[in-house]
Amino acid sequence: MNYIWHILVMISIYAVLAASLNLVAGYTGLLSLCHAAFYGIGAYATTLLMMQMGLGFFPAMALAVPLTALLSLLIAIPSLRLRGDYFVLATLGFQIIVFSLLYNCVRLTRGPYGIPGIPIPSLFGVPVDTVFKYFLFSTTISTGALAILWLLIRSPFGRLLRAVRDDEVAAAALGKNVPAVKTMAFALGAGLAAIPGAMFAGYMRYIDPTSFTVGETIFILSAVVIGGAGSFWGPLVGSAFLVALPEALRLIQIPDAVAANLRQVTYGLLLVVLMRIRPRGIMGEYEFK
Amino acid sequence: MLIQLLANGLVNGCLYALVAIGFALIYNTTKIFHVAHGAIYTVGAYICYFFMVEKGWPLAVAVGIAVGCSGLLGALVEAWIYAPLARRGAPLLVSLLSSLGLYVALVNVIAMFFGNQTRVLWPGVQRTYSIVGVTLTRPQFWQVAAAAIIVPGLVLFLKFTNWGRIIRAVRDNPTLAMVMGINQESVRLWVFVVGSAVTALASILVALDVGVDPNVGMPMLLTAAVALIVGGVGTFEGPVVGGFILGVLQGLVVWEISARWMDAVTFGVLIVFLLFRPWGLAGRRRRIEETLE
Amino acid sequence: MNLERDRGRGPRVAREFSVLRRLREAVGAGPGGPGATGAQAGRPALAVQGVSAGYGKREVLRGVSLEVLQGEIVAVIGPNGAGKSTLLKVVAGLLPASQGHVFLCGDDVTSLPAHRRAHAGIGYMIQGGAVFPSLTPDDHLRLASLVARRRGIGGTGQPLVPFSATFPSRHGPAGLLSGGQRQALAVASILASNPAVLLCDEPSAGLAPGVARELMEQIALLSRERALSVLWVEQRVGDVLPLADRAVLLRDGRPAAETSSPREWLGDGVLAELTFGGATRG
Repeated sequence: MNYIWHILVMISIYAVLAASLNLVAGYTGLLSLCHAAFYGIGAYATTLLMMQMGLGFFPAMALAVPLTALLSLLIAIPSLRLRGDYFVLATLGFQIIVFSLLYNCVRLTRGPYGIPGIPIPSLFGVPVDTVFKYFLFSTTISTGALAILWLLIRSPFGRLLRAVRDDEVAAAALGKNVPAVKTMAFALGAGLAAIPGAMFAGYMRYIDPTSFTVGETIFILSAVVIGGAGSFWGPLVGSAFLVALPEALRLIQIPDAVAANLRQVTYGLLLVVLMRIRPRGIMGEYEFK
Repeated sequence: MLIQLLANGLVNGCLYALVAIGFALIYNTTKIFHVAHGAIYTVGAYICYFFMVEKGWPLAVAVGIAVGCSGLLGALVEAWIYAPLARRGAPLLVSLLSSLGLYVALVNVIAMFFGNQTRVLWPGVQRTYSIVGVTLTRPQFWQVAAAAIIVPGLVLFLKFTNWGRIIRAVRDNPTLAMVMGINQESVRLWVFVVGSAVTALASILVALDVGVDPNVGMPMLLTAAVALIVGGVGTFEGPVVGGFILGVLQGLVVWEISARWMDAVTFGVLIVFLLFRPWGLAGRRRRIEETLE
Repeated sequence: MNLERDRGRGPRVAREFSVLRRLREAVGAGPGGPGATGAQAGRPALAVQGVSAGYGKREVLRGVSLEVLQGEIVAVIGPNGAGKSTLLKVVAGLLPASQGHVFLCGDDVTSLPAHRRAHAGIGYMIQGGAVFPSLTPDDHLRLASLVARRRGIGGTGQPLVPFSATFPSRHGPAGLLSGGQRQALAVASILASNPAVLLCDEPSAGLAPGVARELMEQIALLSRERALSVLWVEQRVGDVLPLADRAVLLRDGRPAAETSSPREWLGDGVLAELTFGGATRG
């Protein structure tokens, strides 16, 4: 039974990750390849605030979110004036630099050794110490985060994002400050990605840099694109699908070592095929341009 | 020590130049950010490994087959994935996403068959050559030789032959090239063949020296992309210059700080260039009329 | 009436000619291309039959039929959005026709891709005369002569056009040339490919009036020297009509009027009447 709760916990984490990237990529049209960096910054910030400053899980997470959003400005401000491939490459560069920092700043992050013994989060004094409790806990947090996203997307600001995405020139001509809108969306997406980071750290109780690689970024982006960028439900469907996929492979008795690769082969090919036959994804409303 | 590191940097520069010119050939001509180029880099070395180690065929034969198969694989990627998207008029970012997916799929297919550990192609201690206090292994020597022949060869080919003019014409303005009677699709196909073969050769020469694992492609691809931007997008000499700059710079980083910071420095350079000189060293600022097409 | 008959005839004619062409290829006799050697005076070098085309769901051309005889200059004029440029794109093979056929010297080229049409003898001057910015004028002429050589005519590699003498440097990148020079280079390289039919899409767009008129006169002169058939889309109506043998007015994706004495359209109010008044056959 724990096994199913575990999968659901992972889905709840990835759902928020994909949905926050969707805010940037799907609703604002910025194909960003550094989301795992923000995920990682969120996880490390929460962990370090809990372990070094003795904060509780929620205060630590609440601080990690604005911190990640602030750090995202480091890449947003220089790279948002670039277009197309250049933006993609700049964000990819940021992803690699962040990974390198997590890996190499041993004094702060313990580098490749990772940080073990992350305290168990507790809610109203009750420790969240079983997988089932964590499932309830993480689902609550992710529902909250997704609700915030939902409101954001339905708000005038959300409409503004889509306007900028669909016709930047027209939005600028209407007097909208396009660079500011993009920067804001980017920082919001990054800040929201810190929440699953915290959820992941609290769940695994151990983090190391290998959870926040380029490969992870591609995985999150695939969840968005396969599910359907620019639709609220798309990334949720995409992440549920991509997280559950390897478990399905396990059911048909494929050895674990091969299953991990097979899962990646499957979603890689899925991405290729979808781009060919249905570039807007399963639920999608928006096609990258 | 410093001289040795600089020499290693120059040797790496040769490799970067090879991969970058292959990448530039494809990127400049098709404008596709061909991430799967990194996968082809990986696949090339593994094909060589397969024939050389598992089948026990002679080195030269294995290298020849691997280079040929990689060229063919490049052509198949264009014919089956990019060309249909281009025909449909799909945006370039859709090609980029396809390419990402393809990269993930190919690399994991390799990992499924050969495992995640490093595979050694050429066991035993390599013969080394010492020249003025610099020691190079035999494969390193070959790397320099290959770059010394292929890179200038390609640059001259692109500049002075009719095929080179045709490729540059497609790069400048694909529509005009078509109405001038140039078969754009076949030009693209050949560009993929040549770019992939050159890249595979580079990866094989590296693998002969230090072995290969499934994840070698991505860092190499990213370095090549950075070399292209540093050197100047749209040019063919630029990425060569960029490759050497990155190689030497990494050598200095190893000397001054530590090898662990190489990637961060490479991308630091990228971001500085994107900010202050996005057209690169050899590129020129485009006139407005040119960017409209 | 006319249209429907043409449409019905299209496929059959196409079949007959493709058989003939295949036969000629098999025998391997004579120069491959039509054009300078093929077409006879008075026979249409270019025939467009019932062509419809558009972008996505928006239909721009609605059954256009017209012919250009050997050595004839036909001007296509009309208001913005009438489908003038679209017509040329369809003939050049850059945009597929949803209906209808394009014949070059009697051969159906409707299904050929753009580069094969260039080999078959269609020269297309893109709007405003595009060039390859990083290639030199010499490179342009060399590429053009490759096409000519493929058609088995010309292809001496020698610049066929007087323009090249006026370039400041034949070995510098074309992107550094001035607007007028670039457009002249575009004309020169198309003529060097020795086409049978020349499609001009506002070759003088963006040039100062004096320069534009000179360029247009040059194009007309060079085309007449080579007995080229020209389909010429132009906004500068006052300049193009005196140079043309015939003119067609395109309106809402259809030919609305046609004249074989184009100068008459320059009279007071004639064009306004044709363009905005009821449909008249001129």
